[in-house]
Formats: sequence, C-alpha cells, structure tokens
Amino acid sequence: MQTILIVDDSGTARMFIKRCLEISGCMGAQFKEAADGNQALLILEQGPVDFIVADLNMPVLDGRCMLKQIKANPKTSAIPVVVITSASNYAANVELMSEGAYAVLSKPITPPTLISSLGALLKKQGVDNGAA
Amino acid sequence: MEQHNIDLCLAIKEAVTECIENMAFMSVDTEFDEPLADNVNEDAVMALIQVLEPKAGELRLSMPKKTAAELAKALFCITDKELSDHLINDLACELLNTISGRVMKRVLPAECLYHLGLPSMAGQSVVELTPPFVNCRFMADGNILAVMASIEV
Repeated sequence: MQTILIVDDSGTARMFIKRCLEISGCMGAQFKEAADGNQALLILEQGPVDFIVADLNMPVLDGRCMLKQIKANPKTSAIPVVVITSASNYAANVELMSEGAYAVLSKPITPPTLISSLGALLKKQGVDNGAA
Repeated sequence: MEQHNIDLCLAIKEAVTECIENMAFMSVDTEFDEPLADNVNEDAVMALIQVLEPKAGELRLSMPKKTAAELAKALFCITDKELSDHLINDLACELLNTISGRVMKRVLPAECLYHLGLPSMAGQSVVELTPPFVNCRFMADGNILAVMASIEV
C-alpha cells in the first residue's frame, strides 16, 4: 500500500485532491494530510511517504519553501513532490521544476490530468490494471 | 466598457465555466435574468482574494448559501446533514482561488509571473471594489453566483 501526503490549507481542496487520486487509481492508498508546509515536514519526520501532492499558496510555510526543504534534506530528497497551484503558468512551472518538483498541475485538477501527468507514480497503484 | 474590462469579463466567464464544469460537473449559463444581491447577508457568502503581482487587484466570489451547498454536494457527494458553515466558507475560498488563477493565466502573457494572496471570507461591512470593475453573473444548474473583479491596467 502506498502512502500519499496531501498538503493544502483548504480542507475542501484536500478532500477534492483525495477524491481525484482515488478515482485515478489510488483507492487503496493511505492518505496523510497537512494544512501547511511545516505540518508536512513534521509528518515526514515521523515516517516516509511515497509521494506528496502539495498546494503552493499556503500560510505559515508555503509550498515553494516546503519543496526546497524537502529537496535539501537527504532523507526526503527522493520523494516526488507534485505541486498543484492556481498560480500556474509556463514561467512559474519552469521555476518549480528547476527547484525539484516532479510535476506542476493547474487547479482545477481532474482525474484524467492526474493520470496523464503522474502515470509512473500512479502505475504502482494498479491504474494500468483497470483500477481507474 | 473598456477593452481591458471586456477581456477580463471574458476571462472570468471562461474560468468559472471551466472550474465548475470540471470540478462539480454542473453546466454553467451566463445569459439569464435572475436578480442577485451584491451585498453580504445571512443567506449569502462572499470570498475575496487579492492580486499582489504583477498588478494590484481583487476578485470576489458571491453566492447564496444554497448555491454553495449545491456545489459542495456535487463536489463531494455529501448530504445536507454533512454540510457546515465552515465547509461552505472553505469551498467558496477554494473555488475563488482556483477561478482567480485561471483568470490571471488568461489575462497575462505566458512568461509573466503572478502572485495571489490567500483567499478569505468577507465580513458584513465589505468595502466596495474600486471602479472600474466588472461583475459577471452565472447560473450553475439553476444556482446563481457572481464574480467581481478589479485589476489595474
């Protein structure tokens, strides 16, 4: 079973992301949730996750700062971080990818967008076996 | 209406349609005669978000609580019993955040970075938007909502 960490200050957004991931083939995954980057870093200290889906614009510690800290820490640097943001455009996406993001997706996300962008990550969940 | 606001209005219409149709699977109409109060009252919610860069501005999403409730039920397959004011307010903020990003993406060049503030709920005494602003109204499966925006040229 994979463990997926969802980071967003909006509980509504976390619910929506979780629902999209489940429809995309992650029905059996264990989901952990954090409301900001600091909470996410604390959760990562408690144990590994398979990948992270994070918002960019958050209070306390935003998604970009969280991404930099995750990539700077040898214990967490290999964890793929998928950034979901409302402030996505070509220039912003290039910056985030250069900072180590696995993928940058524009809100609103949809299950087809997740499947096409995160294929390798979702494949482990059995999407290719018809789970979606 | 100035060209800037015509473009802004078109961007809002496309963004709202895209967000609500993709997230809640509700069809969106922009042509109708239903009236909608612009003020915040006990039966309505209004979310605000500031545009911080590259130009100052603000977007607002206003809708009756009934519309927000229908959107929440469509988004999460939940029942009336599971609805709460917190969920409705959070949904309004998140929806405005998503719509605002789509609007900015449409009105700015691809190479232009932009920065939005954190969305929040308006209080009872919300300050009127600085003119000139646009006010676009929508009907989502029979539920009315409006997006207002004022962005510097």
